Amino acid sequence: MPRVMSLSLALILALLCAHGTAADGPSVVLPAPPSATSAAPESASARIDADVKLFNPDVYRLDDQGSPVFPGHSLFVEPVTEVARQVLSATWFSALVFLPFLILPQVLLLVIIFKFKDRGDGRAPATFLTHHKLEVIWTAIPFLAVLIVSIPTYYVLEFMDDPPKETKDLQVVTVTGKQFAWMYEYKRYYVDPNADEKVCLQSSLDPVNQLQEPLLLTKGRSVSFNLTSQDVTHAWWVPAFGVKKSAITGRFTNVWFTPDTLGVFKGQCVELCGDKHGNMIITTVVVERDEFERYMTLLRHRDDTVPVWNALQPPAGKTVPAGAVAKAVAAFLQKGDSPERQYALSYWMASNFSSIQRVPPPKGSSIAEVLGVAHPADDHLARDKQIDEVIRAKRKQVDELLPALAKSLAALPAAAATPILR
Amino acid sequence: MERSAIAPMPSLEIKRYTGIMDWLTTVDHKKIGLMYFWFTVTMGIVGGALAGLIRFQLATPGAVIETLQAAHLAGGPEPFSLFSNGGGIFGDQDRFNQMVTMHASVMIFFTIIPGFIAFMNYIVPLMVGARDMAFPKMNAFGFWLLIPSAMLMLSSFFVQGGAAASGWTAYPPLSILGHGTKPGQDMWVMGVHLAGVSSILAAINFIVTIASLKVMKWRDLPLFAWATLFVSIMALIATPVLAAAVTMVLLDRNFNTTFTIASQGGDPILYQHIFWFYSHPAVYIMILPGFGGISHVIAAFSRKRVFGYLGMVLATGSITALGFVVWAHHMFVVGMPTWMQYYFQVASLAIGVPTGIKVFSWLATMWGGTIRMTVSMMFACGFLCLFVLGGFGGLILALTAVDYTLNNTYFVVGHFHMVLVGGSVMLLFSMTYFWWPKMSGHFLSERLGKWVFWLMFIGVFIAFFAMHISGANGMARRIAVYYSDFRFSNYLTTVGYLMTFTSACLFFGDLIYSYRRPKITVDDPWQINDIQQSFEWATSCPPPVYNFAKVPPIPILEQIPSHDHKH
Repeated sequence: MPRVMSLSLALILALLCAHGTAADGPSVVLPAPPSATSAAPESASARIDADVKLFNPDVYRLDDQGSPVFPGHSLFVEPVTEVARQVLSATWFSALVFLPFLILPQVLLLVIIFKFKDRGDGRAPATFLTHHKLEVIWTAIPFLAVLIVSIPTYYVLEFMDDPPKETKDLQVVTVTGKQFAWMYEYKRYYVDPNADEKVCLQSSLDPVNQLQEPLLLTKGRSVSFNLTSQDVTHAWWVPAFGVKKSAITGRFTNVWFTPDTLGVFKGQCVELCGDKHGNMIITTVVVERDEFERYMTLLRHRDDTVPVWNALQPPAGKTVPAGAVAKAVAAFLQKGDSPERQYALSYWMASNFSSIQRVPPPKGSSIAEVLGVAHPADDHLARDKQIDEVIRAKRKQVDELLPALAKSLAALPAAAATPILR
Repeated sequence: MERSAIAPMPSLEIKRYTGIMDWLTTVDHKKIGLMYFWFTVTMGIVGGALAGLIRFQLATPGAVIETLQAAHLAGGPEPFSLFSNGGGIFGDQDRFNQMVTMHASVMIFFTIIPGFIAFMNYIVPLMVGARDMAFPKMNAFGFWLLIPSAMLMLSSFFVQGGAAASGWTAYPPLSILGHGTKPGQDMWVMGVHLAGVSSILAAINFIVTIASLKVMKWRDLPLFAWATLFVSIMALIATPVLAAAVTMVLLDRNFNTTFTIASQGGDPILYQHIFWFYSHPAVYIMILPGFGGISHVIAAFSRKRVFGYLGMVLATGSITALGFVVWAHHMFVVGMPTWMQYYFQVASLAIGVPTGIKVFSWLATMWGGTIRMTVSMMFACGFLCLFVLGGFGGLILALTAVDYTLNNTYFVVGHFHMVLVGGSVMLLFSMTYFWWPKMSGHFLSERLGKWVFWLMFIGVFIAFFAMHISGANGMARRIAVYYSDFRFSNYLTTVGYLMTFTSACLFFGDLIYSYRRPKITVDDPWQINDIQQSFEWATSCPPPVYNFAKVPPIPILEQIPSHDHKH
C-alpha cells in the first residue's frame, strides 16, 4: 500500500510541469498552467518510493507469529565498525587466554570424581595438606594471564575513547534521551543556513504515529555522539556498532565510531527507564553520502509540510475540507517552490502515509487518534473498518487535489500568491 | 589452657515458654538460625514464583498477553492481563518492571544473604565452641527486623501504583519519579533499610562472637568461621553505604532534596557510585560464606583435611579487600575517564586470581581422597562446575571494551544468575544437605536428593547458559517483549526455569517430610569429625540449648587422618 500511495503522491512532482485541469475544490482563482517540460512520472515516483524505503525502513516488521523482528546484527555475528571489530578480536583473544581456566577445572573435576570415588576397597585417603610449588604456580599463572589480557585491551580502550586526530569530516550528533524516545540533532546541518541564530536539524518521533524515527549515518564517515538525557538515565546501544553509552541528565557522554557497511542496524535503550522502556528502540540507517545529504534536505523542509498533513486530519466524523488542504499546499509552495521543496512535500506525504499504514498498534488506538476516528470501545472490528475507510478517502483526496494545486501554484509569481490566498 | 576449663551449666531458673511463644521469644542462636532458614526457604519460593511470572511473560517474544489481546481484538473476551496495561506498540511493561525489581530484591535481601546468615547463626557458634552468639538478644532482634522488612516490600504490590518498578538498583532519577503518588518505592527503601540494619547487627555479632568466644587459636579457626568473619567485616563496612544511597532516594522523593537531580545541582552518577560501593561487596557477601562452607563439605566427603588452609584464608581475605575497589565495573558505560575504566578492569580481573586459588585448592582437597558422592558432595561438585562457567563469563565482562557491548544485556543476567544460582544457591543446597542432620536431627532423603540435584544442575545450566546466548545476540535486559530472533534461547531459559523450580519444590517437600524420619542418635552422623577442624560434630543432633556441657577438646587437629578413621 505505501507503494501505491507514494506513487500517487509522486505525481505532485510530475504534474507540476505537465498538463492538468484546474481543481474545483478551493475557492482561489488559479492562473493558466505553463507549457509542459520533461519529467517522467514513473521515474519520480520510483525515486520517492525508494527514498521512503531507504529513509523510513519498516522497522516494526512482525514475523509470521506476530512478534517484532530484529533487523540488526549482533557484534558477535556481524560487526560493522572498526570499533566493533577491535572489540570482537579482543573478546576472542581474551577468551582464548582464559579458556584453560574454564576447561582445566572441569576436566580435573571429572577426572577426580571418577578416579578417587570411594569404591569401598579400603583405600586410604591421601594425607598431604599443602604443596607450595603448586600453590605458587596457580597463583602466578592466572596473574600472568590477567597481565597478558590487559595489554591489548588497553589499546582497544584507547581507540574507543576518542576519534583519531587525523579524522576529517567528523559528523557530530547530539543524542538526547527522553521517556521514551531518542532525539537526534545533526550538528552543522541547519534548518536555515543563512539565519542569524542557526537551529540544527532534528529528528525524534514520527509526527504521524509517534514512532521512533531512524538515525541516518554515512558509510565511511566517522560519527561522534554527545549523549544526554532530559529526564531519567537511558543508554544508547546498537550491537552491530560495538558501542554503548549512558545518556545522563546534567552531563554529556561521548562515543564515536565509523560505520562501514550499508544497511539498517537496530538496537534499543538498555538502561531501565520506565514503563515503556522496551518500546524505546533505536534504528540507524547507514547510507551513502549523497543519500545522507538528500535526507538532510528533506528534514530541512519537514516542518513546513506538517500543516499540509494536519489539514488532511479533520475533526472526528467530518470529511477533509479541500479548501484547507489547498491553502496549506499553497502556503508551503509560497515559502519557496524550488524542486527540492516540492520533492520534500511529496516525500513526506508519502512517508507519512507509509508509516501510518505500518503494523497497527495492538489496540489500534494511535491510528484512530491520528485520524480522529470515534472509538466504539466495544466494537474493534467496526473501528478498524472505519479507519480503513478514512485512510482510503484521504488518499483519494490527496491524489486528486495536490497535483493540480501544486502545478498551478508553481506557475504563480511569488508576489501574486498572497492576495489570491486571502 | 581453655581446653581444660570446665564451664558452668547455664542457669535453668529462667522462665521458659513453650510452643509458639518459645519461638517468638527465643534468643537461642540455633532456634534463630532455624527461623532464618525457614524464612529463607519461604522467601526463596516467593522469589522463584516471581521469577515464574517473569518467565511466563518472556516465554514467547510477543508474550502470551499479546496473543490474548489479538484474540480480544478479533472479538474474543477481555484477556486476563498480568503485565500489559495496553497502549504503545509493545504494550506497557510497568507491572513487569515491578516483578523484576521484587524478584531481585526478594532473592538478594531475603533469600541468599539471610540464607547464609542462617548457617552462620547455627553453625559458627558451634564450630568455634561457643554456647551462643556474643549478643543473643541482638541476634533475635536482627532476625525479627527481617519480617517487617519483607512485609513492607511484598505488600507494596497492593498499594497505589504497585511495587517499586525501577529495578533493584533503583537508579535515580527513575526511582525519584512518582513521588507522592506511588509509595511502592518508598516502601522498598524502608524495607532495604530494615534489612540493612538486620545485616549490620548480624555482622557485629559474628565478628565479636568469633573474635572473643572462639576456643581455638586463629590459626585453627575453621574456614567457614573465617569466611563468616570476612563477610561480616564486608557487611559492616558496606551496608551503611547502601543505607546512605537509598536514603538519598528517600530524601529526594519526599523532602525536596536534590542529591540526584541534575537540574538543581545534583548528580545521578553519585548515587550509582555509592550504590555499587555496597552492591559489589554484596555479591561477595552472597558467596563467600558458601566458599567457607563448601571447604568443609569437600573435606568431609573426600575424607581429607582441606588443602592449603593458609592459602584459602588469604584468598578469602584478598577477595574481601579487592571487593571494595572494583565497584565501578558495573557502570563502565556512564562515561568515566579511560584510565579509571582501565584500573577497574584490571582490578576486577585480579579478583579472578584468589578465586582461582580457591577452586584449585578445592580440587586439590579432593585429589587423592576417598570421595563419597552424597547429595551434599554432588551439589559441591555441581557448584564447582557452574561457578567456573559463570566466573568465565565474569572475566569476559570485566574487560571494559567488551563490556561496552555486553553491559545491561542478558549476558550479564546470565552471568550473575550462573554465579548466584549455580554458585550461591548450589552452595546453600550443599550446606543444607550437609548440616541439616545437625540442625534438625533428621536426614534429608539421599534418593530424592539425587533428583533434586540433577534437576537443578541441568535446569540451572540450561536456563542461564541460554541467557548468555540471548545476550551475546543482542537481547537487552529488563524488557517485557523482545525480538523474535531470541525466541529459541528464551524458550530454553523457560524450560530450565521450570526444571529448577520443580527441583526447589521437591526439596521444600523433603525438608518438611524430613521431620518424620527417624531421629539421629549419634553426634557425628557423617562420621567425619576426625577430619573436620570444628566442634559442631562433637555435640548431639540437634545440640542442646547450651551446646556443650563443657568446652570440647580440640578435635584431632594435629592428627593426620589415617585409615583407622574410615567408616
